[in-house]
Amino acid sequence: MRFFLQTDPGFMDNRILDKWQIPFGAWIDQAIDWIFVNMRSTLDALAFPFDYLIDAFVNDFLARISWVWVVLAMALIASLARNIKVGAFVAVSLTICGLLGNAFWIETARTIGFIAVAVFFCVIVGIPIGIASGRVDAIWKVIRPILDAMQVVHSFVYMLPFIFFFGIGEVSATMVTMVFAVPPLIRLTNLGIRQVPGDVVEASRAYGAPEWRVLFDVQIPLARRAIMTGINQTLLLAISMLGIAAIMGAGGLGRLLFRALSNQDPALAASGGLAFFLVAIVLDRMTQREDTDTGNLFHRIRQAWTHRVDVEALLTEADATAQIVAHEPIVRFAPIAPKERNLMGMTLLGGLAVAISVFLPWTVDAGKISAYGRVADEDLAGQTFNGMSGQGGSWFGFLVLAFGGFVILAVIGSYLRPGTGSRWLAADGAAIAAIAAFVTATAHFLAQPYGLANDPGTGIGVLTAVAGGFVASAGAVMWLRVAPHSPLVPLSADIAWGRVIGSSIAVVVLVVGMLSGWSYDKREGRVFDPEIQAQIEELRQEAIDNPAEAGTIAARLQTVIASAAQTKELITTGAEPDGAQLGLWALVSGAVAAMAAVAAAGIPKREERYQWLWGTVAAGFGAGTFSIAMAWVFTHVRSADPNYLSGVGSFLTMMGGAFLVASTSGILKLFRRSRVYDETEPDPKVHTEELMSIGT
Amino acid sequence: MAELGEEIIRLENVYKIFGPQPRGRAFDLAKSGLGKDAVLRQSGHVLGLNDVSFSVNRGEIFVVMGLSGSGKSTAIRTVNKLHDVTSGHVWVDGVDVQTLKGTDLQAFRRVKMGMVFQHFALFPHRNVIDNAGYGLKVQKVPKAERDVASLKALSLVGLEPYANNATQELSGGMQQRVGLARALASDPDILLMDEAFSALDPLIRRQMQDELMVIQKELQKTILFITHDLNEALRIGDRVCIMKDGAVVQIGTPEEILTQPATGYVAEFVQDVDQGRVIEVQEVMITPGPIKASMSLGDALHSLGDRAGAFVVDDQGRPTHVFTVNDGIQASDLSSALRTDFEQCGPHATLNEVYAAAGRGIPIAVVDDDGKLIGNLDPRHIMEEMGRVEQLIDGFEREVFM
Ligand SMILES: Nc1ncnc2c1ncn2[C@@H]1O[C@H](COP(=O)(O)OP(=O)(O)O)[C@@H](O)[C@H]1O
Ligand SMILES: [Mg+2]
Repeated sequence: MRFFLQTDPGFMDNRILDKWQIPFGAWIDQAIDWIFVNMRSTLDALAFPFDYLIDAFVNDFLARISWVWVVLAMALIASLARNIKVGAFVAVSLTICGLLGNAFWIETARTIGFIAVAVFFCVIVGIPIGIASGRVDAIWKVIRPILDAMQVVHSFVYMLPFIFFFGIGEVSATMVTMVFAVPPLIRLTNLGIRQVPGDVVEASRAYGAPEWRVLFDVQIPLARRAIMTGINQTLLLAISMLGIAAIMGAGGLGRLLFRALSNQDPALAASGGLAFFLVAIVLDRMTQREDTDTGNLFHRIRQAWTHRVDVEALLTEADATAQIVAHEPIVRFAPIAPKERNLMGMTLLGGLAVAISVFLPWTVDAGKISAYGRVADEDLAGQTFNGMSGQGGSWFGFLVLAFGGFVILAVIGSYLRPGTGSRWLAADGAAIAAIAAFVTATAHFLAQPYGLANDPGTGIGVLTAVAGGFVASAGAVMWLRVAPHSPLVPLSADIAWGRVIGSSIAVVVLVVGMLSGWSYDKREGRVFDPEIQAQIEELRQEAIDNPAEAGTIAARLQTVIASAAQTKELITTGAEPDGAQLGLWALVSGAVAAMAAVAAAGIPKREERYQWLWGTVAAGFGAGTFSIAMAWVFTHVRSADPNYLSGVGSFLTMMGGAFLVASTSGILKLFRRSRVYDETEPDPKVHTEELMSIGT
Repeated sequence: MAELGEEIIRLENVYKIFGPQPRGRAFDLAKSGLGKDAVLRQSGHVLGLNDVSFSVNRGEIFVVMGLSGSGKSTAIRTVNKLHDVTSGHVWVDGVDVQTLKGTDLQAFRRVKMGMVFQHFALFPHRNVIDNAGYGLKVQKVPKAERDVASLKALSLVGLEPYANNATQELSGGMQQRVGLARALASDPDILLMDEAFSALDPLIRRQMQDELMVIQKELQKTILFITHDLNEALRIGDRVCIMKDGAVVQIGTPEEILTQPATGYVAEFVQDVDQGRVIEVQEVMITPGPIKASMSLGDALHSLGDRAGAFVVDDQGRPTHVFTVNDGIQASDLSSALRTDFEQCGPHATLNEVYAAAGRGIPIAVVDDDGKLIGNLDPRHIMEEMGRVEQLIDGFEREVFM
């Protein structure tokens, strides 16, 4: 009625827009309502597989079972899908994620599960669509604009309808991730099928193959590389969607980071970020193609994003690399000379001693390194601890065992098949591991014990490790001097100033690391009120009466002490006599490494092989430096009171050691076992021609 | 087994038009006799095959020759229905191939023919023996049985030792041998070879041609061979079909193509051919007309007529001595004029092969497998024959271009 009373707005009057309004929003609203009312069951059916897999596989299975199984399963899959190296990498990375803490582990597992589910659905949907598009032009004509639209529209936009229909939560997060991540897979599969040479497909048809055979015999195998690249791209994009998925209510590390951001919690952000990064790298590595095992993750994600439409670029680059790899000639490597064999024997002996040492006693009557972080370690009279127990060698022992194991592996590996397999299964790898074992064991031996009532003593195991490490190092270095290795390219005649500067910086970092805090002790200055004091006394007495229960009692004691109110914090540096002084020994090892690195850089000028020798020594001592700090950190992670933390100095020392290794491994990689060209071996080409002349 | 020489493949007025509407205006234009260019101009469709008819006999090597784009591949593909034809019939062993569909077509392709491709088209993810056995695999032959047949086929092409190699490890020539073995392994009647040797370098190509001819003799396959190289066509073909712009220009034996080119177009091709390589001795030799050693010198000279010389044969008919005009005029009696240092050759030797021997000016004895004299080859005739074809082409050139 009001319309008639009021004067109509004129055509130029903006109010006319309200009068002529197109109720587009209302239509959509009605459509959504209609879908809700009439298609509930369809929506449920759509959501069901997502819901089911996320619930049953991710939340009820992956996040529940022991972390060990998840790590092992992932490592196994990686070993089978890729190779042992990737498998080992996966195992180590995921273990680190787990060691960040249970809360982080659960989110890690959920992240892996979430991505696995999303990629699984992408594969299920994307590959068949890609294949159909590749084979039938008409289908591609329809699919292609849909993909373009999916990739042009921002994910925030299509997020909304999914939230309308499926609610906030993991189901709609998975679906949105899928919409975002599946197009490259479809494009690459389509491209892969189309790139199969026409005559090969025709050959299959010409021999009477039915179409399914053409597909499975020829098209899919020949498109495999493209499809694999597609899966990897999908995965990278899914990873890059984790943040948005977290906003939409998916669990996992994304949500953790989201929370860290909103609570401004740097510790949570750092640990969560590290776990996130490791998971991303692990998943990327597991799905990379054989020949593209390089490139840093962020670069790869960026590349996946830039090439999400013009996917061809991803293929041609990878195929070019593959071509180069395929044409590497087959040659034999220099066999082992008797002298080399003897020195390998010596190295092996040392390595075995090192490996055995961790099963022998490292400390007696008390913990040594662990005692810094755990008061209970003072009261372990009459007990001995081997190289792997928490109060014995702990991570010093683990690392020594790992290095010793590597020495053994390198000797046996290069004895059985010299020159093949990993480049590090050779004299230089053995020398690096042996020196690192020696340095690590020596550091444990030299470490200042905590001022205890009981002296932890020096177990026979430590001495064995030091002696074994020395023998192995000497053997490996002498082996290295006779090993027939040569550089792949002539080394530059110039002095490698970069390496000199790099190792100087590393030494500076180590000095700073030594002078910074290695421990951050919040237990000191506790106020032990009489009640707590009484509890402590009681437990002490119980421990003395009942030595067999010492372990559990110690843990209870720790809890009681930790419950005391705290008034001050104590920071101990890596050099001062109140601490273990490991920073000092790490610096000594680092300085040796740096000097060797200078020699490896070509000062004074010697022949090429000396650079290899000194580079190896530098890497060995660098690895040792790293290992000292790492063992310190992880020993306390393993057994310390939560109020006793390893300090930033130890972290800096790890960095310095890693830097020394990284700056010298470049030159080592140039050296390979020399090849011998056997004249009598039939050259396949020559043989061909012979055969042809016989044929005619 | 059907008779050799009986017709096995026949293309009957086959048209093939590429484009969105092959049966439309383009087809009408083609039927009305317009050529490829005109059809393209007026309808935008490519006339791949223009009223092509030819037939291939069992056990022969039938070569289709033409420049690139002349429709050779299109023609061969209609035979196993990799292409549908627009009009016409393709008969293979009494079956109209173009009516076959689905499983019938697949079964037909499996048993009837093997195909060899220009760029080998091997399956790069299978090793040599599995490539060779692919046809049998499609036929669901068990692996063990398949390997026996594959090895046999590989041994035919001399590749048995490479059975377990990856195909990429082989040279081009060897890869094409694998392609050939793949075609032979399921023992089909017909081999379709589309520019099979064109990607190989000349030396290897010749070897492969020789081998193919040996294999063909041995196994009596029917081979439909495509090439753009006339030398190759004339060398291996029992009959040659020359195509231009989708239409057949001439069909005939290599000799017919050479000596009686149907059009200037063919003659133009023939021009580049080394004639001596194709023309056989038996077409140039004259009847032997031997003389007797007991004749007088004068009678002998008289019986030579305008021949350069004649042979004396033993009681088995084998040539023992040669008597030439030159020797006859200088000698005092027949026995002192006879010489034994003459050359012999078989009737299928090409003119090139005897060319060097002819340079001595002494007649060449053409003998059969038993060594019996069947012809007398006058060196002058060889030179003449090789020059004659040159002239023929010159003539065509004048006719066509002036
Ligand atoms: N699938 C196709 N679509 C359109 N034109 C084609 C197709 N295949 C072949 N042609 C055309 O048909 C003609 C004959 O081709 P083809 O038989 O491959 O020649 P040849 O094998 O003699 O080189 C050429 O002009 C080519 O461009
Ligand atoms: Mg062709």
